[in-house]
Amino acid sequence: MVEFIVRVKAVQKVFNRQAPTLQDIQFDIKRGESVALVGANGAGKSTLIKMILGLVGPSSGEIEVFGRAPGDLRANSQIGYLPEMAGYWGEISARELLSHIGKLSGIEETTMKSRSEKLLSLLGLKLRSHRRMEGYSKGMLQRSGIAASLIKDPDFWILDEPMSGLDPRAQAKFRELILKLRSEGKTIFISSHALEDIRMLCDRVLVLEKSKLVLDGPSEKVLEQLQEKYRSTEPWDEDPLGELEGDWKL
Amino acid sequence: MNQKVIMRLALLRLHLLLRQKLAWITLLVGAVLIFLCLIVANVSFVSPAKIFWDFALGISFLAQHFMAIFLAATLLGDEQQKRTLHLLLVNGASRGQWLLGNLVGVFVALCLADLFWFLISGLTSFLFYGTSLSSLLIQVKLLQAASVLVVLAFSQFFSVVLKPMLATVLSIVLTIFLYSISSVKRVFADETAGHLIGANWSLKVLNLSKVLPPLEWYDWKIFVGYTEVKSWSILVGLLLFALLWTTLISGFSIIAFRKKDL
Repeated sequence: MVEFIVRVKAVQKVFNRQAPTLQDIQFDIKRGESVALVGANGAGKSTLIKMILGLVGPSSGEIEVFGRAPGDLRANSQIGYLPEMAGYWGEISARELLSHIGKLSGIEETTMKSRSEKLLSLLGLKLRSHRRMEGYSKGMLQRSGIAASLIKDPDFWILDEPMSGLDPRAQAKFRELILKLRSEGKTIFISSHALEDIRMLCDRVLVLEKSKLVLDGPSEKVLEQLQEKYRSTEPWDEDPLGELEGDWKL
Repeated sequence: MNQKVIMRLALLRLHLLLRQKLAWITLLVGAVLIFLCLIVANVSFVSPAKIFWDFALGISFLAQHFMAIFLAATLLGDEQQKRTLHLLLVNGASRGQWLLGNLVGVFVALCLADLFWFLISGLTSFLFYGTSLSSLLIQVKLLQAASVLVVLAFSQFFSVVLKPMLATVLSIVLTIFLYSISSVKRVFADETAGHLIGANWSLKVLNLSKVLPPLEWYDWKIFVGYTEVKSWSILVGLLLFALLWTTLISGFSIIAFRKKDL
């Protein structure tokens, strides 16, 4: 029997009586799948992720995560989440962040310590792991966020623009890590603009456009259609980018 | 609700507050102001020890209440902006636990700050005037802690339903209002007091005394107009009363927070 990690049924989200941010969204994510979410800025990707996490409620429709309502503590205990810009407290170190998150998640002390050591060395944070995070670079903060999202060894890993702030070497290492976890059977959901990364890391792609889910299929097929769309003159966004033509000057 | 998670969140909040420069600066400024009370006490003609304690208690009262309002009213917005709120809510904390954990954490931090100021005041008073701590002072401090807990609870409620700036302003206004209820009462009861501030006539014309609810119900002056030692059973009753208010307000905060989009 196929086990569904996420089931999204006819979901709509309207903020403050404005135009809908998401309309009639419907999809499932099965255990072990690696799914990408693609769309222009403001298409509703982060809102959809927050709805899966129970941080934002749907205006209508239904969402199930591990067979439970989004935000349920038992469902969240199996989810690792890396936001677009990793959350951190400048007053504490990366090591302390992992310790607090680990304890809060109910991980046993010895397991938490060994996992924390492994993640800090894998992500190149060990030498500065005792320093306050207020002095970290953007890349280091992102790597700390990655470590925090993995400290409870989640079954379902949600990544929102995971490569932002990482240098090329860290990006390569991170891709390697995603592939490793994918091969171990973890379910991965990535929101990204980097089509090459998606081709390498995901089996399936969902495309959000103007708050609707317009494409859902295998990576190769959907990415081909997407690249075609990028090449075409059809506007991708409601407010399309201008052209650098002729005597354009600032 | 899992108390372990609430305690972990409280410890995290305490840890973060102890690492903040601003918290240490406030603590030191409070201590310096308490020392300055010695000057005020020594230039007065009536009992310098009493004047010293009046001013020292006043300073710690104001500092503690302003810190309570500022921390509770801005914490949610701040954590949301830094996305640390998301980090906690995805990693084992429910919304209700987040609210209660932070309430406890901030409250403990404020009590520790007040204990520090109280010890400094006590030591100074002992060294300069030879007076020791009395039951009255301890009772005043306990009631001040109870009052801070209620202020924290309603500031946190405002932070859930309003923007941080508005929540701060409204919390300050409500605190001032609650502590000035007795003055309002005097205006109704005492012709002279009313005439002095020029309000008695207008209040009578508007007949506000019939419109306003019975003021004794939320007369917080009981916390500050404290001049004689009360029996400990009355004190326990007052502390339970404050705890009841905190529970009630926190209940509303949790209901409102559960529906909020983050």
